[in-house]
Amino acid sequence: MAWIKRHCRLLQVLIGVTWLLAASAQAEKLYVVVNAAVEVESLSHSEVLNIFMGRSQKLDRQQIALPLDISSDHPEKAEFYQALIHRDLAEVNSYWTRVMFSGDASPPRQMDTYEQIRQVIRNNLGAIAYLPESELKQLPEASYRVVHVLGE
Amino acid sequence: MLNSPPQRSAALLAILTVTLCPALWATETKLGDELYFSGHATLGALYTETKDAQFYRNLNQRNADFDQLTLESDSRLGLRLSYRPHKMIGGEVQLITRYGLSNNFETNLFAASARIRPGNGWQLGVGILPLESFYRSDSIHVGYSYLWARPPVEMYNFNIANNFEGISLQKRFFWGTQSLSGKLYGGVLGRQYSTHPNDQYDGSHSPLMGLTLEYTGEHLALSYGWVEFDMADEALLTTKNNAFLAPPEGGDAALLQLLFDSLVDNTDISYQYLGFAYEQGPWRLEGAAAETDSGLRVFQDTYNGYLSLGYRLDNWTPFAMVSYAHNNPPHSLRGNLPAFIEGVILEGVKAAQAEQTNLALGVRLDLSATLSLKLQFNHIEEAHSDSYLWINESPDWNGTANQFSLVMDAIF
Repeated sequence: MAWIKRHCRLLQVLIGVTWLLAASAQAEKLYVVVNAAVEVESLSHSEVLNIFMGRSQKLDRQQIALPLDISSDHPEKAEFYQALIHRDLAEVNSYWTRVMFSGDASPPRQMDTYEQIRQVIRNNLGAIAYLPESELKQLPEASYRVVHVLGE
Repeated sequence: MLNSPPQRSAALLAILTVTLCPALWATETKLGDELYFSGHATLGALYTETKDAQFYRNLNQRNADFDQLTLESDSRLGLRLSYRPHKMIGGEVQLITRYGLSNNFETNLFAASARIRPGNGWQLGVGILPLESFYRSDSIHVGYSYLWARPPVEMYNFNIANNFEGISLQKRFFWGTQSLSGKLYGGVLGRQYSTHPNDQYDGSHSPLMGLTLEYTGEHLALSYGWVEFDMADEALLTTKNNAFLAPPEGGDAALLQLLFDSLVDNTDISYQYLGFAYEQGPWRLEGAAAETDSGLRVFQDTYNGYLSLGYRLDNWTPFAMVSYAHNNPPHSLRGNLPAFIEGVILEGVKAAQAEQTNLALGVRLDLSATLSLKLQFNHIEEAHSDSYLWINESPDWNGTANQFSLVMDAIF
């Protein structure tokens, strides 16, 4: 009986640790950023959705948007689209193949690394991308502006 | 062009090899600073369980086998190269390789266009453009973009054209997560086409124009489209060994053209559809209804539609679909036509008749974000034994058939 109780307690501890780890993983925020020179203070959830799903092409009244995606082997991409439109990557890709092959719009530009994304954000006024906090810290503060936060 | 079975098998093997290498893929590969490459591949196995009629997927593909497995009907490969030198300007070329009327795999140019996006939701397209008269199947060849093994043939196998040469102008409005877009387009069919292995028509001067309206909300999408073809300058280029169009003995070219002109009584064909898609949580419901108003004597006014329901369970999405096609009774023959022409027209009308119901049950399994596997069962009931949707029907055929499909779709 004691053996069962001891193992039940161990199981409870394991479940608790797993829950905490899962909760902390879910809580990781993704920062939607643009070039600091763009006159956009913030974007709503629907504005970010429209830009990344190809419905809207503008950041503001003047600036044409250049959305950037990290490649699919980065888990943040799946987290971003789950938080943005509650769809997994297979469904997002299914959507984009329809739109792309019908010529209506092009998907966000795929970048292999966050370094490439940071570089485009620094050098392109229309660029818009999402970054986890660890990657955002590597971007000089004067070069970007956070316009939306997902996962809050 | 692949002229021998070993070559066809090699092509299929190539498609299979590409299809089974998803680990190498991204959804779009950057080739240069502004040059992107993407594509789609489908390897499909189809078994039609009847010995009394041959099934074909669409008018551009009339190969079919009696009561045996075929890898040819559904397998295809599409490639897309896009160039985006500027945020406002881009261009693309699309090629599609699939089994065609020549009973071989054929590669055709599907799209080649330039796009200008000046902003404020405007988009201008010029060149060879996809024809958007078929809701959610403007990417009809891209199997990965839909749930099923193949789009409902009752809805989509009547079309002779998936693209046109011309211009399109689109304006999109959006508010919140909703958007409304309107697109006007016009041009010419711009090429020769066939509806039978032995016939070839010149549609290079056949004008068309159309309109597409789309509403997209968070869970609901609606689409309406209308397109009209004017076949005024259509010319029959070849017809040989075809009992349907062959002139009587002693007939000459002039007689043949008279026959063809008689088939094309009024030169307009218009098509309109209304479609919807509703997605809420794991549920996915979509459907469309369409009407073809035909001025051609041999192709009667047609009504078609489908309804599809899917439910996503993690990577599995079981689905059910019902689709339907129906022709109006033949028009009365007008004018004083030679008897043999009347006979040919009546034969054509008979061959083009359809009243078909198709029930599909299946499941899609997403193996990865770029690869899916689909299993589908179809039960088809056709009221006319001599139908537009089947060929080489036996007089004894009771109009029913079962189909089993296993399809692997990939994008890269």
